[in-house]
Amino acid sequence: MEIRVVVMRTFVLALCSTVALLALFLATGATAWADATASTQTLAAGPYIVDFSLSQNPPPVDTPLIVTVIPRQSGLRLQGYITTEPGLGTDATTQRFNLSATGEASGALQTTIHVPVRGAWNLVLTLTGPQGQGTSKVSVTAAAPGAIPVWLGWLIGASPLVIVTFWIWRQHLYKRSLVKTP
Amino acid sequence: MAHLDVYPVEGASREITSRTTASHTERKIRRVSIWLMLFFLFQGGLGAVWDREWHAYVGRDQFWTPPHTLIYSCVAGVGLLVLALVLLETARYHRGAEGANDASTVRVFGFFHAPLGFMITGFGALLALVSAPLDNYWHELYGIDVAMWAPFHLMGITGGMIGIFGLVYVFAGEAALERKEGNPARRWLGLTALEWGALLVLASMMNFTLTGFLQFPVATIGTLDVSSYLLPLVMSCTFSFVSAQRLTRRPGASLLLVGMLLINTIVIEIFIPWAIRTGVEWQGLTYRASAVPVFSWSYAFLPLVFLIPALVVDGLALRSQRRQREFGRTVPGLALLGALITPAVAILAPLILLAYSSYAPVFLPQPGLEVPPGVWIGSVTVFSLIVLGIGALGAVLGADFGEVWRRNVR
Repeated sequence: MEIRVVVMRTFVLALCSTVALLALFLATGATAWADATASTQTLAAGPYIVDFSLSQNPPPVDTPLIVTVIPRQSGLRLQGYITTEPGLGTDATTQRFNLSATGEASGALQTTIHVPVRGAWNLVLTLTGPQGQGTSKVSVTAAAPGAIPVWLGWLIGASPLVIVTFWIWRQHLYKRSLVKTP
Repeated sequence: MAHLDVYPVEGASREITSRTTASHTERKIRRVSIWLMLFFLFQGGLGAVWDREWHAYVGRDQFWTPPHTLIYSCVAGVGLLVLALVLLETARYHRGAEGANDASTVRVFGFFHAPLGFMITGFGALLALVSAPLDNYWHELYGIDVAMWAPFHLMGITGGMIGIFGLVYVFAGEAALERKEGNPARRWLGLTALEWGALLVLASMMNFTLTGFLQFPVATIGTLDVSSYLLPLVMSCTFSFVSAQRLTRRPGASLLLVGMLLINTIVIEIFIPWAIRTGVEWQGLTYRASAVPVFSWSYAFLPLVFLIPALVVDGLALRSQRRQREFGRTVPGLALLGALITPAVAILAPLILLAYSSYAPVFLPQPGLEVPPGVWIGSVTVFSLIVLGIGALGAVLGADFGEVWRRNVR
């Protein structure tokens, strides 16, 4: 069989397999995300009473999440940062995001954070001001697109190996034809 | 007496000149592309090791980490380059341009024409690109430490390997064409620039194997864990050395591969720890286990485990050349060669890696538990046979691929 026919068949096979598996992926993986709306809660970070707002709660994974901190008492000129700590059962690393002043009279602070893995997270707010440092913790659960079954993930991920095996076999036949050709 | 006068025919001369120019254009297009792709390959290789270390020291804080940026810009660069070349080659083929014909291209989907290697590389890049969002999705679901054996890591790695193989095809195909046309090319250490390019790609392939080999699965037999990292190490060694020999027909090709790989790992070890420290400082991140990356002598000089096998392969190749016999003529002979050079890697690698990884000793009794002698003997025997078999298979496959790379001009 000519090499061009082999190559063409391999590519057609690869394309069909990929399309079929991706269709299965889309059909199986639920696309419904949790309804995310903005939320605000009052926290006591040490001596500071603040309104802590999340642009979306529950926060979706790998999506910018705006966090706003507004002190109840104006004129404090607070500084601080948010630490995102993975909660129980969440396999991820801790990250730190500095809060910066929005410039409003209320003394509001803001930053954009993101959580890279679905599951439990603790957002630790640390504020520093004239009365020293204070911290407070907010627990959130990051939402992710519906999970596909593990077996389907492996089926899709390993599918190119079938083509590789086929390729090695064809390669062997091709070599024999090349060696025969003077 | 008959007198023969030969006069140049003006039209024919013009046609020959035009053909030569067109063929020269064809060669130029392909060769500029492959050297550019080699650059992308080095970039991707560096990104892959950086990514592995970033995972270990920092964790996967987001998709667009600096190493991911390096990897995916390489994949995108190769993909776009191949796409452009396939379209250009297709246009040239349909226009009937000299050099872009059925003898030097393959047809795909009944319309597109390009050299086989470019098609393979393009397929690899596409696969790696498709795996990226799927891999990100998997991480979002299951976290950062899904390690190498996640489905879409496997898909991306397969894509990368296919792409690297495609690049060897392209370099080797051009070199074969050069030989076929009898064009004298300048040689360094007996190799043309294109053959050097093919060897550099093979060395990158070996480096790619080193990138993830310590994360190969650990099999548990009773109270004994057996790390399988020797399998890819041995396979890449026997495959690369035999295929390099078959491709170049030059004794010494294996030693050159070891030298290239050594330079590669040393450069990587100088760059990566510095890059991670700089990245962490710059982005205000924290180390996962408070361990700061530093230059590792074990990893930098790991390619030395391949030195004895390289000398054996080169020695046998030289012997075959002097006796004017083909190197590795028969499949059993090649399998025997593969099995023969395997123990050197299997014994040296754990010794060199002792300071680098806890998986280095291969056979790892579970802490505080006794391993029955039967399990020890059985595990060591079976695993040794598997490693020898993989070494033999690598040599046989290497000969097949090397021979195709030597002869294929499409």
